[in-house]
Amino acid sequence: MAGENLVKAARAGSRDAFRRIVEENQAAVRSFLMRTLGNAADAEDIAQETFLAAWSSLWLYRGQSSVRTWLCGIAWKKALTLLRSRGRETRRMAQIEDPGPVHEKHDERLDAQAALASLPAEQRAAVALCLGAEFSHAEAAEALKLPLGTIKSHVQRGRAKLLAAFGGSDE
Amino acid sequence: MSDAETKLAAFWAETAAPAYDDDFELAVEERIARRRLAISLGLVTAGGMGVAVGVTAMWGEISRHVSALVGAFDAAGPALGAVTVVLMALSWLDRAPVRAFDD
Repeated sequence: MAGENLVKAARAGSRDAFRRIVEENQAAVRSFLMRTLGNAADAEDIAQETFLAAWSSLWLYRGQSSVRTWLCGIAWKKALTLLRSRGRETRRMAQIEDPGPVHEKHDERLDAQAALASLPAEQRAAVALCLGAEFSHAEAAEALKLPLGTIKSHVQRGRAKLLAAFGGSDE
Repeated sequence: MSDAETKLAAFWAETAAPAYDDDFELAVEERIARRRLAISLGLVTAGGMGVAVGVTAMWGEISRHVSALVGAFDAAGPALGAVTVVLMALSWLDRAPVRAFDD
């Protein structure tokens, strides 16, 4: 059953249909949140809240985008609220500037994580969707409610930073 | 694909969530069940409050009807008592005979 039909069935009260929506989209939502928030516990919590919010607002889904895009849009709103309320950006930046003795050993994966975390929230989300989850620029623009040009620019810059963390360049 | 691009692709694969997680699905279902319960309790509470407000607003009318009903039962009291006594007597007279000489 296509995503839109699943939403229709879930809206009509089918628990199985909603369960399938969760099954089919949980990986995309959780990966997006994990990469955007950089914290597994927060990502899990917000992912659960995302599906709960989706369940209570099934009637708002108009089928203009895929269910995955719609869910990532809800997840992004919740993630942004969390990031703003906790001022996590500031703390994360401080951690990156002072990695401490644990990070003394050069590790490209940690460098990439640090590079991802150092990106502004919107840029990180655009990169996580377009590069990490193979969203099209248009889908990411729909999910993040940003202009298409902004998404393209965010992805290009973010990609360059991540490649630099792996010792490459964006050419 | 350059070495850096390969490593970046590997990074995305490493940071991806598993395709399916039973615990996650259960946690979502639990949250939905709690929300359903909260909605049901909210509806029952709102309904109860609505009834209470309605009863309070119409209390004068309701108490008049209740008083009339109680008065009617009070008036019928002796007659109901007499009927009850007659029915008990008939029931007693109609009982099965005692078998005193079974042996």
